[in-house]
Amino acid sequence: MNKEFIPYEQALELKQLGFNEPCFATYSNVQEAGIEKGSLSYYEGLFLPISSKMFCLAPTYSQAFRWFREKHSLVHEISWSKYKGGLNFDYDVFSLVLPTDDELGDEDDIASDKSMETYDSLVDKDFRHHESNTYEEAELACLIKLIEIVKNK
Amino acid sequence: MNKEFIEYEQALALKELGFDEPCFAFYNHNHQLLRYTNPDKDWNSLFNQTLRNSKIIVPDTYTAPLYSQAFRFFREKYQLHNGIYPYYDEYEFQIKDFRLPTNTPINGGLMKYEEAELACLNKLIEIVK
Repeated sequence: MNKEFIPYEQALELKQLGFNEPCFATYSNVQEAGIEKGSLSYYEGLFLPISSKMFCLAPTYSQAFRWFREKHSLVHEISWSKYKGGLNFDYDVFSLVLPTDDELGDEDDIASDKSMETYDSLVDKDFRHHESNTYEEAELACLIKLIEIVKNK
Repeated sequence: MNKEFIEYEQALALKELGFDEPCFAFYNHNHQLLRYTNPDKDWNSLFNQTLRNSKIIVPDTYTAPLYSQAFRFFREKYQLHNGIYPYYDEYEFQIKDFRLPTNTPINGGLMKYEEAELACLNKLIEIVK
């Protein structure tokens, strides 16, 4: 089940960005007897924990992606393609906030036509340079990109 | 947090399709979603109990996979890949069956994200059944 959780490093970054929702697991923030810093533990209590100095919440990937979608209007997609007999995975990120009329520019410009509105990718593509060999690699790369986008806002 | 889990009907269907992995929660006989307080220990004890006496199969309780677990199950076991994509104010799902030589995607939607996720899961179950 550990595959479901984002890594410690990204969990720390999400915490800095304000993520503080109940999670099924936590990462230890301290080195204690028998417990490594950054080790994942499933939460045993009746009520799910909120953040503390001792531990960092460990969201699942789907929780993290939902948080970006609902809090920052950022959606992602993981796509796939067949390549040399195997599968390759790639990701993309879009903002659900459409550009304003001012941002769109000239009224006569085709891009300003509301009927033409689409979500532009926030990922600079250099011919699929984000390709990953596994779904999990693409998922992590996508999460790192989302964190970077929100940090740079 | 309950949004993370697939619903009872789909959990039952997944079990019939061979899903048998540890989960964070289960559905009881009243179809209520209950969380294991310790997934490792609870899952093991449940599993061992079943093994100790094969006549006891812990009736009427079904593990409740997360959506991500369910989608991973279809990806790894059946080579069925899915995605949920934004389209204007709504979302659509897409499924590709990589077992087939020509994998024309199956599309569905347009709806809210969670609805698209559920519709996608239902379609995956339908394809495998």
